Amino acid sequence: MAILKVSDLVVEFHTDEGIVRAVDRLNFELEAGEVLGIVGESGSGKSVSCLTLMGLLPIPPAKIRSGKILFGDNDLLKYSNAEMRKIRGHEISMIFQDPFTCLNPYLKISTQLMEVMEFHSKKTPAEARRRCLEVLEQLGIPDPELRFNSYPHQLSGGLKQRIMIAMSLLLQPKILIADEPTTALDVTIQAQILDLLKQINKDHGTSIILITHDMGVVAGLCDRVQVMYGGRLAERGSSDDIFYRTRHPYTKGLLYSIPSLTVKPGDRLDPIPGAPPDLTRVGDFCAFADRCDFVQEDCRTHRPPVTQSNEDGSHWFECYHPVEGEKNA
Amino acid sequence: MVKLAPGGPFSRERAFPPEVLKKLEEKYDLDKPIYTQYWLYMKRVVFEFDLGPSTRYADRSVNELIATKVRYSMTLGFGAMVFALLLGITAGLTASLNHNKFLDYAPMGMAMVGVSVPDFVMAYILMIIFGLSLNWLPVAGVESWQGYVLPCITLGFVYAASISRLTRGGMLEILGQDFIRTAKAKGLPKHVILLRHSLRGGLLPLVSYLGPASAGILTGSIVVEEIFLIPGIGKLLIESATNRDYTLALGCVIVFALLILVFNMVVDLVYGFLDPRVKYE
Repeated sequence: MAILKVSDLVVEFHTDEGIVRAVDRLNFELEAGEVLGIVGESGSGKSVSCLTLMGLLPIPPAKIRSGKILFGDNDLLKYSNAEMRKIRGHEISMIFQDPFTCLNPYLKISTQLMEVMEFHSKKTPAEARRRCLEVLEQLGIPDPELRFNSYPHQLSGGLKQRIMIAMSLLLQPKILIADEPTTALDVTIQAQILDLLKQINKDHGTSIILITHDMGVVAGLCDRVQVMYGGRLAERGSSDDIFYRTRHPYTKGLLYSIPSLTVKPGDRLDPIPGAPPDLTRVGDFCAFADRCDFVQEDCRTHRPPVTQSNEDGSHWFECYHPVEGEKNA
Repeated sequence: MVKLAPGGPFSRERAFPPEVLKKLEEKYDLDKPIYTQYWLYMKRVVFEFDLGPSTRYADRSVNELIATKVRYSMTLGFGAMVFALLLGITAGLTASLNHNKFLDYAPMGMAMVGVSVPDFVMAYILMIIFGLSLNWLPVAGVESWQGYVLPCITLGFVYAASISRLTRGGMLEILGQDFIRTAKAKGLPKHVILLRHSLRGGLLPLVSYLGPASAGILTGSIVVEEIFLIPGIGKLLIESATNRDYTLALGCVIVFALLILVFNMVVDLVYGFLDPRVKYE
C-alpha cells in the first residue's frame, strides 16, 4: 500500500536568468515499509522534490506549479503552514547531508531533542527525557546521558548524524527522508549509519526515502530505486531491475561511471559526457538528449512517454530508445 | 602629555605673588621634577585609589569631583545605550525578517542616515524640532528626566544605526544556516525558531560590538554633555583640560579608561556565556 503518492509535481524557481524547472511532472509512490532510493546527479531535482514533501521549499523563489502529494488521503500541498508543521518532524521527518551544520551550535543536544516532543506530543518533560535516552540507546550511542547533556561541537561527525537520526525518530514517523545522510562522513562511519537506517526500517517499519548519488549505497540498502535526471524520473524499478536490467541510457551511464575492483590501475572510468542540463531551457523533449549515445530525432521533439518494462508494471523508464536489459552491470 | 600643554594651573590673567605660587606648587608637588611627580601620582592612584586634589578647585579632591558628576554621565550613557539597543535591535530584526522588502529597506535607509550624520549636527536638529518648534522637551540642562531625552537620542542614534545593521546581518546569516532548516523540519513553530534557535547566534556580532560601542558612547558623551549642558564627567574633562587642572584631567581619563576596560571585559564574558564553543579555562 502506498503511503505517499506524488503525482504530476512541477516545481519551478524564478531566478534572474529565467524560470528553472527543478522538478518536471514527477510521479512516484512510496510503499509502506520500503526503502526507496532516489539517485541522480546534482541538480536532478531529488532534494527539491523531498523538500517539497516536507513543505520546506523557500517560496518565493520556488513555486509549486501543479501536482499532488497524497499522504494517506490528504494532499499535503493543500495543507496550511500550521497543518504542515504538525506533519513535519512527527509523521514525516528528515535528516540532512551535513550533521556538522545541521545541529544548532548554541543549544545543548538535550534541548534540540526534547523540543521535538515539546510541540508534537503531550509528554511531560520527564517522559520526553526518558524517550530521548531510550532512542539514543537504541541507536547505539555510547554513554547517552553524557551526549544528551553535551553541545554539538563536543561530538564527532558520526555521533552528530546519529543524534540527527535520533531526533527524527523520537515520534516514530511513518516516513523518514534521508538527504545524502552519509556524504559528509568517513567511509567506516558511512557504513554504520547505513546499517542503522536499515535496522530502523526493519524494526519499526518506517518507510525511508534515501536520496543519494552513490550507487553503492543504493545497492546495499534500497528495495526500489528511482533515477532522476533534469527534474524528471528517468527510470524506476527494484534494485535488481536498475542494476541488472538497466533500460535508460542515463542509468547505464551512471553504472559505468562507478569504479570497480576489476578496473586496472591506469584504466579510465567512463564518465557521462557533457554537463547536467540547463534547467531554464529544458522543454518538451528528453532532458538527457544532448548527452545520450543513443539519441535520435524523436528524442529532441517530444518528451518520451513513460514506458513499462516488465509485466507487473514495477519497472518503468522514460525513453524512446532504451538500452536492452540483462547486458549490463 | 597633559604637562606638555603651555601654561599651568596657576597661570592666570592676574598673576599670583611669587611666594604664593611657590607655596602652591609645593603643595601639589609641582616643584619636583616630572618623573618624581609621575611616581608620586602613580603610587597614590594605584595603592590608595586617590586621584589627588584638584589643582583648580581648592579643597576638593578629584575623587569627590568625579563622584558628584558621574551620576549624570552614567544616566546619559545608560539611557543612550538602552535607546540604541531597543531601536537598533527592533529595526534590525524587522529588517532581517522582511529581507529585501519595504520593511528591510526602510530601517536600513534610516540606519544609513544614522551613521552618516554626526552627533553635533543631530543634536541641533533635534533641539530645533523637539525643543524650539514643538516645545516638547528642554534643549539643555537636566533638572528633570525630560532633559535626558534629547541627549540620549543624540548619543544613541549612531549606535542604534550600527546595531540595527549588525543585528540584520547576524540574523540573516543565522536564518540561512542549515540548523534553521533542521528546526523547520522538526515542525517547530515560528517563534521558537526565531527566539530559541536564531536570536542567540544572530546577536553575537552585536555583543562583540557593544564593547567598542560603550567606549564610543563614553567619548561621544563628552561632546553631547557640552552641547546639552549636562554637568557630567565629559564636561568636567573639557573644563579641566582648558583649566590645566592636571590631576582632574588625568583623573577623568583614568576613569574613562577603566570604564572601557570593564565594558570590554563584560562583553567578553557575555560572549562566552552566549556561545558554548567559547570557553574560558
